[in-house]
Amino acid sequence: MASYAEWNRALVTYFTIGVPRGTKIYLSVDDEVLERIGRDFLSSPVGGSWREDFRAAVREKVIIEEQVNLTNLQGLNFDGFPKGVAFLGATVLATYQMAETEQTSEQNYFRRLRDILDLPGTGRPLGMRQGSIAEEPLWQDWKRWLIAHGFFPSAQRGRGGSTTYINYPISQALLRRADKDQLLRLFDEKQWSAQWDAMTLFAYVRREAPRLSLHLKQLLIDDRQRYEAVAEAIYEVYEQWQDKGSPSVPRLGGERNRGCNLFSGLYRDEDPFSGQIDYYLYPKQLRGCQLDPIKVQLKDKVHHLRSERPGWYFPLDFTVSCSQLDSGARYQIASPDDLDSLILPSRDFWILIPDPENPDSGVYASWGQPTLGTQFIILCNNKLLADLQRLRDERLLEWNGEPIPVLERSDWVELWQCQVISQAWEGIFVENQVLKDALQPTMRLSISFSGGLRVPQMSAWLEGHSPQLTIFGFSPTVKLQVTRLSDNHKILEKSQSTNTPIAVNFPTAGDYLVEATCAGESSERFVRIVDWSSLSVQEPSSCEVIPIGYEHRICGSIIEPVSEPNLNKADA
Amino acid sequence: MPQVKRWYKGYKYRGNPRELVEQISKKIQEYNLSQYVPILRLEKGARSRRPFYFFLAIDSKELGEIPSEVSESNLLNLPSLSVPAVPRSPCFTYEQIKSMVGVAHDVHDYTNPIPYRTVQEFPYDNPFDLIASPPTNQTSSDVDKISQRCEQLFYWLSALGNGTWESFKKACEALGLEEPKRILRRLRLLGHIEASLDGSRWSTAPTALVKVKSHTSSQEFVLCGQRNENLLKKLEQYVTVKVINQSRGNAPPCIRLELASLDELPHLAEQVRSQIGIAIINAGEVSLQLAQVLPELMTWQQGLRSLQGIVPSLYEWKRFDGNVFAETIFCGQTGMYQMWKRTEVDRPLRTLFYDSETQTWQQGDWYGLRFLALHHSNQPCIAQYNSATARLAVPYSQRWPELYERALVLASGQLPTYQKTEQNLWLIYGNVKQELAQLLMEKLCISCSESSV
Repeated sequence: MASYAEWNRALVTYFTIGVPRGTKIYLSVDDEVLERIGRDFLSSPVGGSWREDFRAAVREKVIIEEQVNLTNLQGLNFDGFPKGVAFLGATVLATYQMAETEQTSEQNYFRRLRDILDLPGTGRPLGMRQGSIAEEPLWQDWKRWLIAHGFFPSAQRGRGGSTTYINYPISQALLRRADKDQLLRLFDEKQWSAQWDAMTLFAYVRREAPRLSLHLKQLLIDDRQRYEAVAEAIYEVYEQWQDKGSPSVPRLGGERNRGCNLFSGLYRDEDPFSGQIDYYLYPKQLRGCQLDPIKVQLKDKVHHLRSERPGWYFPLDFTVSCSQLDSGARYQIASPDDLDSLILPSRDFWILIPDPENPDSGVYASWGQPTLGTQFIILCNNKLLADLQRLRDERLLEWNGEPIPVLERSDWVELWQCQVISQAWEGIFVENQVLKDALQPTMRLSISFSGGLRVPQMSAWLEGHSPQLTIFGFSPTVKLQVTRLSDNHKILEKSQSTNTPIAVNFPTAGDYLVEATCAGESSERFVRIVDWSSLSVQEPSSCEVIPIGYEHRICGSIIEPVSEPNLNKADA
Repeated sequence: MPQVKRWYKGYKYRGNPRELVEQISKKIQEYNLSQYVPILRLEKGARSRRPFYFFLAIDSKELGEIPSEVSESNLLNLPSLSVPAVPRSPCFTYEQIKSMVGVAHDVHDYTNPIPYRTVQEFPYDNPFDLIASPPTNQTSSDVDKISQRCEQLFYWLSALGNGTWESFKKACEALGLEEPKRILRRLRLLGHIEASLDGSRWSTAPTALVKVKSHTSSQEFVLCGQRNENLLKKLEQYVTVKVINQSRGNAPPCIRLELASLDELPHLAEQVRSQIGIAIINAGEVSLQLAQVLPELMTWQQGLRSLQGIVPSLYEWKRFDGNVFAETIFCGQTGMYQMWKRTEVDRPLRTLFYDSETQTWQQGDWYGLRFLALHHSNQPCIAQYNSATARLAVPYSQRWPELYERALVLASGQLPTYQKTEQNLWLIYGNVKQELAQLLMEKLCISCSESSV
């Protein structure tokens, strides 16, 4: 049996490893997640099931004399992980098990939680009488940890009444067991086989929303903030269905395998002299696992994937052709055996945003949805221009200049300096719903940093060169608060105009939390200020060398014969 | 293809405007009707529990005609679409309703659009394109201040490892350092950084100790390549370290190490590596090694990057006449040219060298191209060497191609100082062995005289 500490660490790792910084994290623990995590433990599961093993570990840790005791779970453990994550995972598991017909009520939720903890009775268990003292501090620890590590938390307190505290786990559960079974039936009926990515599949599933269950319908239509996460969760079910050979009679319940494909985004490179634009395959890491080394067969050459940053491998030295953009592409993964293909999805458009970790680099790639106020590039098939023009006409989206044709003899164009300028997209209807979903803002507030001297590897700014702050939003003012985390000292608290950059004096090196609040919505960003002495030396990921004649080359002060393969550091 | 006309069908409704929009939006998605029903406009100030008007835009061949796709769906059967805005008036134009509706997105009265500002796109500025400009005088406190900022810039570059020209420029801007192109060039001369041939990317060079001529019995080295505060502190623990500002402070200071003997070097490198994880390469006497492997001027020219596809008639040209760039009509004459867009008046698009023999446009460092132009126009290129002080003087107006100059700079780890005489402004390179000076001058066809500088 794995211990509580092992489950705790494994859950934190599963939900954050291979995930790009800036992603909203959902602690969506369900049976499949527990099975996947469990397979990596060396021990055997209790009762032959990792779900049971997890339950046993949580019970052993928190149940003392038939009471829940969470006092030891507050704060961080020696590894720097929040101690309460496994318990919080158990609370989300309770939500996951709620049946389709079950109402989201406090009574039903605690009945499920008591089942998991093997506690008889009804209502809040003993030891958890007050949510604000019992489980809420654990959610706060998790939230702080996520922010400090560059992620966005997603767990939210309810709006009062009986759901105040149970809303935390409810906001984390994406697909319930009943939803997954319903999706499997849908895939079976539709027999979809195109090379879609998660958001495209999501749009197709959403078309079927009227015939799906109420909970699934709500996930598909109502909650825009969770679209991306729900789309990923649906895609996992889709991959499992495909891995089973797209069976005509899907197996309900039981163990399901994980999808085993990597997806590629696009990395854009513009030649500064000729202005020629090329796109490169930009493989995305698989969430929750570290696989190394990965070799991909591209034409006659094997490419090794190297980790570039959380969530992404380095772009491959392989330009994407027009036909590959048109219809997507699939490349065989030579190793490890667990992985099947690297897939460039078939899409009508790509949204390319500036590097979130180094916006001044001039590089654009498919790093995710643009935050409010960010200018980005839309690469799209020109058949989408009518839809885009409609969005522009209604002053929802703006761009600069005319569409720029890219890739010779193709229908692809780029729109430059695109920016979402309004939030109310509901009254506009376009043909390509996926496009609208991708562009329509999911948040009403966003905190943006600009200028200063950023150290991308450390996700930090240098002391004396801190960034300017802009709160992008659709309200004229917001409440802005900046807190130094080491002593919870508020260094700034004021009403601030939106969409205007301001200079903030971060007095010392350290970690700061920036919070903007308006009309019940809030946005938070973490800022780290470091001093000069904390700068390390980073080996270049690509090294420039200058040829000297035909036989030598130089890099700085190092001269090498051309025959030597690379400039490796060696002992003196 | 028949032209599509847009008209509006009006309704009256009492209820929550947001829910109304969501309800209609779902139906349009469900029946894929966005082509025919593109927009919904609400009456200004629409509020829950008060009746208000709203209008569905319909795109059809004729005004008032409902496309069959819409009529066959059950969109128009929604209860919220049961009360027409005006009985027996099924069709409105935008002009008729404009005064009572806002734009489509005025669902929320508090909506405050995010201002859109276009970012001025500058034509790509090649970091290799410089304009020769004599140095300005600086006080010693200025030198200290700028020197420290340059050191900080280099710490930052070392922490990144590599990046784009854009990021380099922004870092200079953040640190208040002007003329990033010149800073990049100085960092290359000092063996700290390398740039790609097109100038779009840079990477920091490996940390190395470069042997330089010593005036004492000790072994002296300069530190090149990546560094940070920790490295300097660590080196100070083991050997004598001198920090010497560059003459104008406009580059990171020279870090000079004194070792009693060469045998100390492996131990020093091992200590540094094991304690702070930075590997140090013993690069040897790089100035001389570089001078030896550098080709003769004409061979160097052949290795320059050629640019294809330039149509001279599309641009305006200025040719370097030995002193300045003078307007010219391009007629295939060998020389250094500035290429100007007809519409651009501020700065040239690029600076290139044209070789009439091979009919190629070549790209390289600015001073290198100028040196080539001087050579091809048979202007005498000169230098003066003082063997007593081991100093070499090169006229500022005849600055050498960058790699050749790097060999001189790496002889001391210091950029040249400036000295003005009646005829010339001179660049003075220190700690230059006679052998090194001779080797380089032969390769560049420079005539040398003994000097007292």
